[in-house]
Amino acid sequence: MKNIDSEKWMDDVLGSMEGSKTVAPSRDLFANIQSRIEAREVRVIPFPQRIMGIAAAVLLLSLNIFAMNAYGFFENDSAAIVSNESSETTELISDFKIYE
Amino acid sequence: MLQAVATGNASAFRELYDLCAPQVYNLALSYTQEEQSAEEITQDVFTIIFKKAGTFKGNAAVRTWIYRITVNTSLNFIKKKKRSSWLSIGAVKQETADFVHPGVILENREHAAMLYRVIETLPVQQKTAFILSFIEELPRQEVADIMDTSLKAVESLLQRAKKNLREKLASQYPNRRKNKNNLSK
Repeated sequence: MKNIDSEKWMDDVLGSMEGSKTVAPSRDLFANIQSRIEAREVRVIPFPQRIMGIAAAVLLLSLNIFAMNAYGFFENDSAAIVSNESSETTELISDFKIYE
Repeated sequence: MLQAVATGNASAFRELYDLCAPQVYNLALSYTQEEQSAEEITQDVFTIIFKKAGTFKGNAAVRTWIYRITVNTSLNFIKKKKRSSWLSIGAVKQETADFVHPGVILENREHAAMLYRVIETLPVQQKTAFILSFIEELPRQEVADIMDTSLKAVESLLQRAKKNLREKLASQYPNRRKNKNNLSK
């Protein structure tokens, strides 16, 4: 008897959503969705603007490379630079012998 | 209608919303068992629909496509929520009351609350198949299309879901009898 009772109860529970009504969301939800979509559209950078940004970055980078090249940054004479520096240091030290 | 939405037609989008929002909201409600979370999911789903309307290829029905987006968004939402509750160290765990679906028939309220409590214990695939078939009352083939699986696989998921639910309910039954006896005294 208990078994029949429990089986019936389980069937009732499993079928308890039968015939239930579809519930609608709150009325202001559509307005919220619209404002969210609009906010997203505002944030999107238009394509020509994006192209201009990329072009400016490329121009700046190439000017920097040109300037570095002009000042010999890429020349491989680091040894010469070191020797120049050492001779300058020697000179400076000899200059400090003011009591000679 | 979806093509019009893809071009940014606001009135077509409103029409689509009026047509589908209740289904989206109810499905999200079955997953989250919280009205506020279901509304958040509905917002996310319609934002995705607006954004991706142009990518809809027409291989499936629009309703199937929207249901699929809703299922995925709901599952992601639940995953995120679980992750954030793990991260909130020291937060006091709140006891949540039984969820009562607002659309349920009055005499079924107690049973429906019990049903939602045990649905929570099902694995994700079984839960999805059960909700779509027995709560949303969709045809099995549509459930299979939404879940991107075969009809046979859906039948098998439903069988296992029912078996699991019955096992859980069987363990709840003595408590239910006790509660009923206490109330009648």
